[in-house]
Order: sequence, then structure tokens, then C-alpha cells
Amino acid sequence: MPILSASDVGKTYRSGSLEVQALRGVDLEVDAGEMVIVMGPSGNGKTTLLNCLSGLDEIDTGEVFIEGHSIHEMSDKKRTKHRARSMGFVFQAYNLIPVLSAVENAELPLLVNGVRPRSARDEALEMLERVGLADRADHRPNELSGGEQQRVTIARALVAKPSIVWADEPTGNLDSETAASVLDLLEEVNSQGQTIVMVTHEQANASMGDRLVLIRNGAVEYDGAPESAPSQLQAV
Amino acid sequence: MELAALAIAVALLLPALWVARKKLIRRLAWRNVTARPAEAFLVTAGTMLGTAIIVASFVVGDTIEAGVGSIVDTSLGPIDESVTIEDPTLLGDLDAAIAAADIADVDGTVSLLSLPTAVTTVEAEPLGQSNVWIAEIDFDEARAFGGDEATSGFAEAGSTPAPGEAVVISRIARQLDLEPGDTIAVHAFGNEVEVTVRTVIDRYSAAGFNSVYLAPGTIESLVAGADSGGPEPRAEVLVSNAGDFTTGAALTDSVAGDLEEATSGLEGVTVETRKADVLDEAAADGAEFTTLFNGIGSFAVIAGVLLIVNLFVMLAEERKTSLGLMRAIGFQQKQVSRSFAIEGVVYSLSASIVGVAAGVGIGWVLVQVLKSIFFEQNDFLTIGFETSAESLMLAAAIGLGITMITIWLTAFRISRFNVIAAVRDLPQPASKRGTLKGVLLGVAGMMVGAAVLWLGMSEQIPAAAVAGLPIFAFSTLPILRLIIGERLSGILAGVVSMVWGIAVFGLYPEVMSDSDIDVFVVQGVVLVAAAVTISASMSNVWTWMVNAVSRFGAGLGSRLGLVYPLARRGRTGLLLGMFSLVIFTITFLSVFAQILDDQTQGIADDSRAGYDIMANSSSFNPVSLEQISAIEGVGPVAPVIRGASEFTFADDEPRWWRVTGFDESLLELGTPALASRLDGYDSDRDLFQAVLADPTLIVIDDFFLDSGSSIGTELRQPGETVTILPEGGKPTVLTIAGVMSSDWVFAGSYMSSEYVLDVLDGQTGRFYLSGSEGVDPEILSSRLNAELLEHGMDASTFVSEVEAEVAETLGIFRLFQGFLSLGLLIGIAGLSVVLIRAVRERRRAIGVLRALGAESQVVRRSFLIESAFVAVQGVVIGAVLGLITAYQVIVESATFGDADLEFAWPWVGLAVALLVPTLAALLAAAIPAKRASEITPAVALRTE
Repeated sequence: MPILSASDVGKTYRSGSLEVQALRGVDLEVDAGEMVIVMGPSGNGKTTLLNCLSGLDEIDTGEVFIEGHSIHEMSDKKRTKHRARSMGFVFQAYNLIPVLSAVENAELPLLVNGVRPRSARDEALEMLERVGLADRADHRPNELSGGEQQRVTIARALVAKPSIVWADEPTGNLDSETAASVLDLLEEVNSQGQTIVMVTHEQANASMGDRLVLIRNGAVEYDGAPESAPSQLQAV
Repeated sequence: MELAALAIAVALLLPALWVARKKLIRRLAWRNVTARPAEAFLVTAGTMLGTAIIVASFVVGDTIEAGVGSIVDTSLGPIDESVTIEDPTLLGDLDAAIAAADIADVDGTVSLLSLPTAVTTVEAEPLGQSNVWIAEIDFDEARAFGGDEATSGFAEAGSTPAPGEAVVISRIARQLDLEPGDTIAVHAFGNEVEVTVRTVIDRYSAAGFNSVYLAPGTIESLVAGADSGGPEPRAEVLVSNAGDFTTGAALTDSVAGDLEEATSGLEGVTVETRKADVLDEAAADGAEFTTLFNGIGSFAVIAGVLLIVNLFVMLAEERKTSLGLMRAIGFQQKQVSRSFAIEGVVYSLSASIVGVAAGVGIGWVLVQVLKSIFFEQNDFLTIGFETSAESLMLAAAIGLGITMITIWLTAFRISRFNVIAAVRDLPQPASKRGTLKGVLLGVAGMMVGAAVLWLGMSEQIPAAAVAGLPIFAFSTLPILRLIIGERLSGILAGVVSMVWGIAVFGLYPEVMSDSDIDVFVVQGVVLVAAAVTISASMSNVWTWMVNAVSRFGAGLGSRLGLVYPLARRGRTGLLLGMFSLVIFTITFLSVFAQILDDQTQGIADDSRAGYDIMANSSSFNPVSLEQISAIEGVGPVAPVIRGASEFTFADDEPRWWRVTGFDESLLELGTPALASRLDGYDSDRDLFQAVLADPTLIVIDDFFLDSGSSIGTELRQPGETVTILPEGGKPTVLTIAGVMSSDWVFAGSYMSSEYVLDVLDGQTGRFYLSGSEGVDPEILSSRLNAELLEHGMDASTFVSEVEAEVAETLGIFRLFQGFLSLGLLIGIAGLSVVLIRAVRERRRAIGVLRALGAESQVVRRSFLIESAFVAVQGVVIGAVLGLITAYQVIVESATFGDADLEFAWPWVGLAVALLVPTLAALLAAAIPAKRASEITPAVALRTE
């Protein structure tokens, strides 16, 4: 049974009289342990797809099932709880809470899930150690480099052992060397069974996943093995 | 003053307007204003509150000044001087002598005979009033007096009353429920005359100088048969100077001299400069109250200033990234600062205009409260609603000036931000140059602090003494920080300043003895700044608290609620300052209100010498001891003599003060309580016995000649000498034998009855008395008033006399507290604005939290807790400091000398001061908290 199953997902943004159809009938399935790379030109709906599939944003048409639950039929409260239990997020802009230290940021998902503070702290420290930042645990985001901040974000995304991790351009703000180390980290956790859906526009990253999904004009143009993707489609 | 303030405001405004001619800068600033209208409104509204509170303070000042001067309109009109003559039969000679002198600056005179009496209605249950001045005057002459019939007060009075007729002033008509046709009885010297009210006229102008106008000859018939040597009717010629009601007073000095010269050939003539005296007194009283009001109100004003600073600091913080970008693409520092300044001008100008209107509105509300406390009970003063263009201009200029200074300083600061740090929203990196600059500024500040302290100590300037050491201590921060770190240096400077601010009164009483309200304001600012600095420096304590909160599972909301205000220490400090300052003052006042409330019975006991009732009758128709003793239910009675005389300490200006004459009977049940007495007397009774035996001894009240009347003014001590200057008698040096604990019944000083009667021409008719066993003093008071109505009897218990006085004082406290609560409103508004802006600032963080699975109520709770944390901290700091300062002033310092004050816990006041701001802060946070909780994660994460 797939961990994610989305069918006919549609999303339209409205601003006054202006309407932009961001997603048009997207169908997608992701199995547990898969690493799915979502690519496409800028402004063609990659981030919107990720937001809609994760339940961060509402959809206008279709259905999204995560672990068998239709997340858009849930109340906001239930969906939030579900998200806390089952999902982790890695953002391009890190999005760490500026007034909290690295370990405090990392332990947030555990606290949200009601884990006792002492245990949450221990687990967060363990996770920071895993991403190589044990010695920076008490530093605030503005005292960390971009790569370090993104590692904290990954630690935060993984600490609650979610079913699926959504990564939206995780290396978009990083230099190539730092980006490579972050991607290595994501590959490593994927190899240990973590499901990851990653949006990227880096051509070089297309082959790191089990599958490649190409989005153009809000629709899935290709969904299959990276190596089988037509080269002209990959050149986005 | 007004022009100077306006000039400064314009000077600060003009450069911004000047640079606004640059289209690009103007457009950038304008786009920032219009991009987020709601936030522009918030900044303007907050700034407006600051200006409004300054304007309100000025409006109250204007109104009070006009109110205390209103006695000129109601009771004097054209009367500038009055020339009295001891022998009423010589009134015609006096009038002729003044007319013959033909003084150039005098435009009219009129002669008048008057007498204070008791007036009663003639009915089954009569009403009565004592001390009602009746007068005989020619109405035609009175209308011509001053040159303008319409403003004479007698325009509607008709002809001079015929025998059996009375023309009554509206005030007395209202008090005795009189209408034309009613009959009243006038009592004096044991005689009675019945007259019919012909007309009721307004209490206005010269007509208000007396209360009941009667036919010529009426006073003579009342005086007939009176003992010779007793009080005489007042015979005088009223004089009007050239000019109108107000400008005539300017000629008083020269006219008074001419009048003295013109009447030098007559015996027993005194020239009284009535209007000038009233205006001087009104100006002094008005200024005293306005100073007190503005002093207390300045805490609210300072809260307004802190709000303005906070708003623009936040605005700068928000603009930091875009201003950094401007610098990155080639804008000069001055262009960046100008763009910000123009934006600030838009807010501050509109805030000043709206603030003046709002301030007038707030002022109006305060004036209504003021009216209800003082002026409804006061027959001579009327209060309207006064404000002047000058005051409004000055207040607006002050508000605008403060805002513009804040804007320029903020603009200057942000233009010097490190570009990269600004663009990436990182903390500004420390630079060696910046550190050196800080050290130099610190050294300069230390020098200023030392100079201020030295000046305060050597010249005995209390405000400078209080401020000097804290200026020095805070100036050491840039240096201390380098040696012992930021946290310790902050705690050190804060503790030193706080200890000094509290202890200086006790340590240096000789310097602090002449403290006034301005010292209290400085002390409040010092203490609050110190406490906020200590709080901000105790980061490890707060971190421990946050961790503890987390450890005990209080939840993510609580943790986030605490972590943000702790991270933004400057901003939180300003908010704390706003709350603390206001609560500090409210608590301080609450303690004093509580002391008064608790001690009403004690204060009455101190004054009553064991008796229950003070009974006053008209001195022109006094009750005798036999008469009052014969009233059913009256027990022991002590007659006392009312007198007054001029006194002087050394070379001070002589001042009139009340004197009460007593004999052995006063000491039968006890004595007025003494706070201190000369050595060598075993008891207060022994000392009063000594005063009876020795006419060179005097017992004075605690405010004698206004000593001890303001905080810090030294009380006079036993053993000091004072010179009494009896009218027509020889000056005598008196030794202060004792100082009374309190004198809320205005007995004044105590001397022997014999001296007060013989030397000071004292008057009989006052008694201290008690009921016989089982008689309720309140009922007995009412009986005395009813049965001795024709003597103008006014009897009431000491307790109710004190209660009435205490109620008035508490009313003033309530007014102050009401005005201060506006400062609290500013604090709440500031908190609300800060939180609304915080929601925007933290949109992304909120989005992340929601994405991570934090429920919306976690976000909402975090905002509510943040608000409550700031409010509770501010309120606790303010309340604790207020209690400590009040305790220190009352118990530990010499401020109130020997006054018998006991510290009282204002439980109710404290509960209100603690709960109301906290609840209001939660309410203020409700909207931002709800808005934050409703943020959609996906939308928030898209926020730039």
C-alpha cells in the first residue's frame, strides 16, 4: 500500500479577478522508503504540489491519502495532529525559529507530539549528533552557517521519525559543497528507510531519487525512473 | 516657552520636509507608508496617544488656572480695593475723603456696610445658614460702580431694598430653598429681623461680594443693644480701578498708595488690595495644583514617550532589510536616513493633529472628574472647560518634538547598519570603533553623572542628587561590559541605582528635605530603569525559568510565549518601563490613600481632646456656654476661642494663621495629641497646662505656616521660636512647646483663651463637647443644629469632619490615579501594537510551527502568555517599587518628620493594580493571538 496516494489534485490561486491554476489534476503515488524527486521550471507548481500533498495548503479538487487517511477531509485540528505525527519538513530558507537554539529548534516536533521535555531534549541532541552538529546545539540560527542551519532543519524533520519527509529546495540557498553534504545526508537517511519527497531545480539531483516527477504548467509531465526520463523533459 | 517649543519642533521637522523634495526618496517613503495602511494606522495611533496625554495634562492646567481665578467674576467684578474704617459712623467721612482725593486711576467708589449673620427660613422646620454676609448698599450707586451697569451684578436687582425687603444672591436662595415672596429671619447680636425676599439675583461681579442685601438701617437695628467692645459691622468703601475686571488689578499698588494718603487723616483705616490678593492667591493655588498634577501626570507622559520610541524602534527593525538593500544598491547613508525620516514625519504630523483633538477630549473627561471632587461643593469658584491656543500649540509641539527626535535618532542609527547584516537580518557585528565610541560616551556620561551628583549634594538640589549616581552607574556600562561581561555589569549598575534611589532620602536627609514632586518623578524613573535593567540582565534566571516551564510540561505555547520577549530585551524593556512607571505611581498613591482611609478615626482622635463634637456658631450671634449646655443630651462642654494672627519665623514673610484659645475645660477629657513636646514635661496634659500658665508658649499644628505641607518639607520642632504679630499689639517671641500630630479640623495653633481673647480679639461661639451617657453624637449634632439655628449653629462630629476632609484628599488621589490609568492604557495599547506587529514579523515562524504540527491554540496561547508575561512583570516591578518607596518614605525617612503615620497595605488598590493591567493585557493580546493562530502554514511560508 502506498504511503502517499493523490488523485486529480487541483489548486487555483485567486487574487481579485486574477486566477492562476497552479495544479491541474495531479495523480501521484509514493511508496514507503522511496525517494521521489520533483522537478520543473520555476513557477510551474512544484512547491504548491508539495504544500497540497502535505496538507499545508488546501486543494480545490481531488483527494490526498497519507497512510490511508484522506488528509483534506480532516478538520484542521486532526490534520495538524496527523502532520505532527507523520511528516517532517525541510525548507529552502531553513525556517528555523530565530529565538531558539539549534537543539530547541530540533526538539520542537517532539514537544508538539507531547513527548516529555527531558526525553525530547535527549532525542534532539542525538539527532543533532547524527547530522554532525552536536557541538553547535546551543547556538542560535544567526550564529550558524547556511549549511549548519539546513542540517538543523533536517534534524528537526527527522527527529519525530515521520513516515514521510518533504524537502522543498533544501539546497537552494547553499553553495555546491555544502549542498552536496546536505544531499548526502538526505540520501543516507533515505537508505535507512525514510520516505522523502524532494522538490529541486538542480538537474544534477534528478538522478539521486528512486523516481523523478516532472511538473510543467501544474500537471505531471513525467513520472518514472530518472534514467528513463526523456532528456528534453529533464532540461527544465 | 510656546515659541521655543514650536521652534524646536519645526527645526526638527523642516529638514525632513526639505529632503522630501527629492522625488525618489519621497516616493520610497510614501510607498512604505501606504503599503500597509493598517500598520501605518497603528504607528500613528500609538504616537497620537503620547501627544494626547501631554495635551490633556495642559488642558487640566488651563482649566484649573481659570477656575481658581473665577472668584473675580463671581464675587468681585470691578472691586479692586476696599478701604475699611473701624468706626462705622465715620463711613461717610471716609467716602468723602476718597472722593475728594480724585485719584486718577480710580473710576468709581461705593460705600457699603456689612455684617456676618445667621439666616433662617421661617417655617415649621426651618432651614438655616451661618456666616451669611448681609449688606446695605445703594443699588443705583452699585450699578454705576465700575462704569458698566451690565457687568455690575446689580443690573437686574431693581431699586435699593425698602425696609422689610431682601435681595438675595442665588447661592443662598439655593441653600435655603428661597423664592421671591418667602420670608427669612436674620439673626445677629441676639436680635432678629424678618424680611421678605423680593428678588433673587445671580452671584456675579460686585453683587456676589455679599449674600443678602437689605434696606439701609437694618444692620443698625440688629446691632442695637449689643455689648460694646464686641465685633462691629464692617464699614468700607469699595474702589474700582480704571480698566476691566482683570486689568484694573495692575494699578493696585499705585492706587493703594493714593488711598492710604487720601485717608491718612482718619483713624482706624485699612486699605485692602482685594483683587490683587485674590488673583495672587489663585495663581499660587492654581500653579501648586497644576505642578502637582503635571508631576504625577508626567509618569503617564513618560509612558507615552516610551511608546513612541518603541514604535519607531520596531519600525526601524522592520525596515532594516529593505533599507539594507537600498544601501547595497548604492544609496548613501543620508539618503537612507532621510527616507526613513520622511516616513516618520508622515506618522508624527498626523499623530500630532489627531493627538491634540484626542487630548482635548481626555482633558474634558478629567475636568469633569475634577469638578465633581472640588468645585460642586465650592460656592465661590466655578470651573468650566478652559484651554488656550498657546497650551495646545505647546503640547503639540512637545509631542511632535519628542517624536521627531526619536525618528532622527532611529534614522541615524539604521543608516549606519552593516549592509550585509541588515540584508540578511543578522545581529549587527561589533566593531572596535563602535566599542571605542561606546567607551568614550560612557566616560563622558560618568563625568556628567559625577557633576550632577556633586551639584545635587553641594547645592542641596534633591532631583540632581537622586539622578547623579544612577547616571554615573549606567554610564559605566560600556566599560564594565568589557571587564565583567554584559550580564553582571547590567545587574551591578541596576542594583547600585536602585539602592541609591531608595536609600538617598534616609542617607542624606539634609539634602533631600526640600524634595518636591519633581524629585518623586526622577526617583520613579531611576528605580524603574534600574529594575528593568536588572530584569533584562538576568537572562540566566529567565532561561532557567523557561527550561523549568518546559521541564514541568507547561507546553510549547508557554515556552514560546516567554522566549520571544526574552530575546527582544530592548523592546521588552521599553514595554516594562511603560507598565512599571505607571503602576509604581498608582501603588505609591494607593498606600497613602490607604493610610488616610485607615487612620480617619485616629486622625479624629488626635484632634478631639476626648470630645466627640465640634460646634461652631456665628461670632456675631454666638451661643453662650449656658445656652449650649442647656440643650438636651449635652454632656461635658469646653468653650474655645477662635482667633488669628500674623506669625513669622526669623525674617520670613509674616503669614496669617489660625489660633485656638483654650482653658482648663478642654483638658478635662484629654488633650489634642502631640507628635512631639518640649523636654521636661511628663505628659501632653502637663504641657498644655504649662501653655495655659505661660503666654510665651504655643502648641502648633503640623502644617504651621505651611511647614511640612509638601513631601520633604521639614516640620517645626519644640524649642524653636516664632514671633506673633498681633494687630495693634506688640510682637512677642513665642516658644514652640509642642507640635500636634495632625489637625484636620483646622484648629491651628493652641494658646490660652485669655491671650486669644485679649490680645488677638478672638471670638467666642465654638465648643468642643460630648453627649451625656448613651447619646449618639451624630443625633446630638443634628439636634444642636436644629435648636440653635438662629445662632448659625454648625455642629458635627470630629469623625465626620475628618471624613469629609479625607474624602476630598482621596478624591484628588483618585483623579491622579485616573490620569495615570491613561498611562496604563498607553502601556496596554503599546503592548497590543507590539504584538500585532509581532504577528507579522513572525509569520514565517508561525507557519513553520503550524507545519510541524503545532495546533492553532499553541500559537494563540504563546501570544497570550507573552502579553501576560510582560504585563505581570511590569506590574510586579512597579508595585514592589511603589511599596518599597512608600514604606521608605513613611517609615524609614525623615520626610514626614514626627507625623504619626503607619504604613498600610493597600490590598484593594494592589489587587486592582495587579489584576486590571494583566487582564487588559490579555484582552489586548486576544486579537493578535487569534490572527496569529489563523495563519495558514503554506501562506506563511511564502512570506518574504
